[in-house]
Amino acid sequence: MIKQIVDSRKDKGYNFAFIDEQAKREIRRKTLKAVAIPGYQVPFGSRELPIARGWGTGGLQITLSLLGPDDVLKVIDQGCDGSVNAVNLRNLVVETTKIATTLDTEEATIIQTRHRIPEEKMTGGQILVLQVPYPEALRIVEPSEAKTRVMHAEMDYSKLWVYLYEDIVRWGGITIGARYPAMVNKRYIMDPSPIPRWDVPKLHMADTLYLFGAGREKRIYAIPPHTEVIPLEFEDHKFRVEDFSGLSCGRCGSTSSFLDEIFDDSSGQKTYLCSDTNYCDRRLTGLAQRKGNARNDR
Amino acid sequence: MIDNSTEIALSLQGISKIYGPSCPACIQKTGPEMGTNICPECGSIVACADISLDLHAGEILGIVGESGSGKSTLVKCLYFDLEPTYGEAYLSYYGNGRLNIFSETSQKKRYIRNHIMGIVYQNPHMGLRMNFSCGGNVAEKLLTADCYHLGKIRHRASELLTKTEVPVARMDDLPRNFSGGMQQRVQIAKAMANNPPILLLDEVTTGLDVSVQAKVLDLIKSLQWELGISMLVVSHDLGVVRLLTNRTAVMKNGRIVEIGLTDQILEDPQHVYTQLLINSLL
Amino acid sequence: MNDILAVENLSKIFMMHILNGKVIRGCEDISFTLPEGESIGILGPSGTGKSSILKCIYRTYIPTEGRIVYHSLQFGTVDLASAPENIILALRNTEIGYVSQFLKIMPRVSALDVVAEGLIKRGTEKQEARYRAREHLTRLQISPDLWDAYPSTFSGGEQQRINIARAAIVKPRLMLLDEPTASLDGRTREAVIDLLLELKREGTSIIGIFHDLDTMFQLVDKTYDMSVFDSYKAEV
Ligand SMILES: Nc1ncnc2c1ncn2[C@@H]1O[C@H](COP(=O)(O)OP(=O)(O)OP(=O)(O)O)[C@@H](O)[C@H]1O
Ligand SMILES: Nc1ncnc2c1ncn2[C@@H]1O[C@H](COP(=O)(O)OP(=O)(O)OP(=O)(O)O)[C@@H](O)[C@H]1O
Ligand SMILES: [Mg+2]
Ligand SMILES: [Mg+2]
Ligand SMILES: [Zn+2]
Repeated sequence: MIKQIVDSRKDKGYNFAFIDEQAKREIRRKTLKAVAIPGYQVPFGSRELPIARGWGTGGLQITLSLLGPDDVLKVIDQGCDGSVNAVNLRNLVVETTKIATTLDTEEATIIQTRHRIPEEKMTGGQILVLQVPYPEALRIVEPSEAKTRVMHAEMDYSKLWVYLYEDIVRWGGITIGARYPAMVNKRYIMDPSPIPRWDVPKLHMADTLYLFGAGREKRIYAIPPHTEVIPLEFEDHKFRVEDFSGLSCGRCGSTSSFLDEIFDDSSGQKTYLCSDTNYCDRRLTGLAQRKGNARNDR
Repeated sequence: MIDNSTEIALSLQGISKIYGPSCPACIQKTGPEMGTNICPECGSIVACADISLDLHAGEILGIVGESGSGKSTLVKCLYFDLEPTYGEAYLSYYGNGRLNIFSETSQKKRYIRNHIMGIVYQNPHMGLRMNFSCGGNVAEKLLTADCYHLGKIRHRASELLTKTEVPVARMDDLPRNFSGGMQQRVQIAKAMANNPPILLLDEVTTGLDVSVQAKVLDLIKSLQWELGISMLVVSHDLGVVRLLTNRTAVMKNGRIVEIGLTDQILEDPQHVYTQLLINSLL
Repeated sequence: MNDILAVENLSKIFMMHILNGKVIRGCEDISFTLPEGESIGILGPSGTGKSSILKCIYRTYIPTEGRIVYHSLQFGTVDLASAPENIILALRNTEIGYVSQFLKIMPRVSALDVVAEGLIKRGTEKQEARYRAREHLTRLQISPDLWDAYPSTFSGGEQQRINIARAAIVKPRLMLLDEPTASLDGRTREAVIDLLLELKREGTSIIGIFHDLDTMFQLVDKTYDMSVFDSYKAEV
């Protein structure tokens, strides 16, 4: 393995997985700390990466520091493996590691994502790395970083709760779509990154390790497997996911996935498609169902 | 420490707040005898010093004194908005009156702020979030007490607003658009949300119309009367203190110069400064 | 019979700091005792210190010298000159009543509630307290039209009767009266005297200052004469 790393470095003059071992060690250490304190934002030190913002440098640094030669990587952006961002990130990793990549959620050992969690249930052997633009769930009610840190330390969350109260009073319901705040392990309120409400319940008591990386703010946080993650809700005003009742995917017919609304300019018609393209593809090829049956038979 | 057999709700022992570098001469060279609260040696401001007093259960204790005498400083220290330079405070409702609340953790202090004490600030902007509805302001306190039932929160908020005579129809309006008197009453409703046994009221009626003042004072009186809440009422208005309190402390240059029964303070003032204060009233 | 109160060498000197330390004599070297259930009248010309004595007993004034030994049901023997304020407040609430020479009335409280307040404070049901307050107001000939009005607008005599009703309704053990009948006419004065006599029969001890001797002698068992005391002082 060491030989391989040395080889790849020789190839292009890069260290394995681009960033140097010192920097990886820092990220790994902070990732372990984040796993040990579910939902707590751990600051980490890093040199600036020669990668533009909006590329998900936070998530990328985590992924690069975790990858080993045997890992199989999947990169998705807003549910899609084929978007420019996803392709570029995947190319960068392949270039600097020569590891295998996949479009298949099941095959991947590490998935880096932005804005979505795959529809297919992930397993204990997998890690999902989420890119986070704004890690602080309390920012909407408190502009000062110093103060939000104290609020977390003291579990002083009433301001955010009042924000939700005001939302309901003013608009008849909570208007937060993506980035719906959730309480992790009965201790820290966390920003789950801009995933839709649809994906938030997937964080709760999952088999998979979720890691969150914010590049600009240099924060890592984590939800270890089997951790309680409860979206903030009132006893008489429960958290609800997006409502797609009566709708289905125009491609695979799915009625149980998160759908993107597509507006066809030529026909002037609205259609809906699975946001998770791999999920949609697999349903189309029937692969998902067959594998599902095989599992059930066991 | 508070002896449990006495009915003391809050005991202050030697509370001092010094702004600035502070030097050994600070306390000695300031105070009413010196006629200043600025230390001539080091220039520190001794906002209040050596404040010791007991607030009895169910009592309204008045604190009077000229502008700058340290009244607000004392109250803010008690509510942990300021950290006292010296001194201790004990609450009979907390740790059996054995724990100096100033040396508790900030989490414990927050519990005390939300459950044992309520405050009404001199300036409503300090006590209210003007961009939250007035119901939301009350809700904030209830939410700190782990009440996450919207219906219950709104019920309790309207109960409190009714009690403080804020029209319930305006529960979802922003206090920014309220009159000064209404803002103070929303502050009182907020302060009382979790039924704290102690209220700190800093110049609640200052700057209000006389008729509005009267309503706020009547409200405070009825809160003590019906709920037996112990209160510290800060005012530079002796009329307010005469109406509300049984005992009064007089402050000057950061010190308590005299403390006694309110009728005694008014009719038989002992200290030079108190005599001046009473005489200027007549 | 045991004394409920013993005033021993009581003096009250006012130190007027703002008048360059000018000293004003309120009362000096006052001593008398009051057996429980009896009443004493304090006599003397204006300015001799009669009100000062009552105010010292009530602790509106802090005595300069001497002791005021009161035998309390709650606290045993208490020196009112030096007892802690909370003890004084407790005694004012439960044992010692005071009707001042000049009325200090709470604003924006109806006459009925002003009178009923003391009972409610001691735990009587609101309904019952109001009922008893009406009885007292009737008895002191306050017109029912006024019961729901604020006493701050009342005539001097009406205010005085409200003040008396307010103090009498709780039947204090010791009642301090500072010219309670000063602004009353004959008929209402009789009603007040009648009420005070009833209190006395029920065991209340009274210290009173009365401007007319006729009223005083209907109520008191003995007198303490400040003018005698004054001339005695003058001789010395
Ligand atoms: N942050 C500060 N830094 C320095 N001095 C301060 C500070 N805050 C207050 N002081 C000073 O402390 C003293 C007491 O102020 P405080 O606000 O307690 O007075 P106050 O009795 O409440 O007056 P007022 O009746 O005007 O409200 C004043 O001399 C004031 O100038
Ligand atoms: N609060 C006070 N401050 C200063 N001097 C006072 C005070 N109260 C009373 N005095 C003075 O003490 C003296 C006795 O007053 P006090 O009111 O006891 O007299 P009094 O016998 O009740 O007179 P009157 O019959 O006129 O009511 C008077 O000279 C009075 O001016
Ligand atoms: Mg102030
Ligand atoms: Mg008199
Ligand atoms: Zn589909």
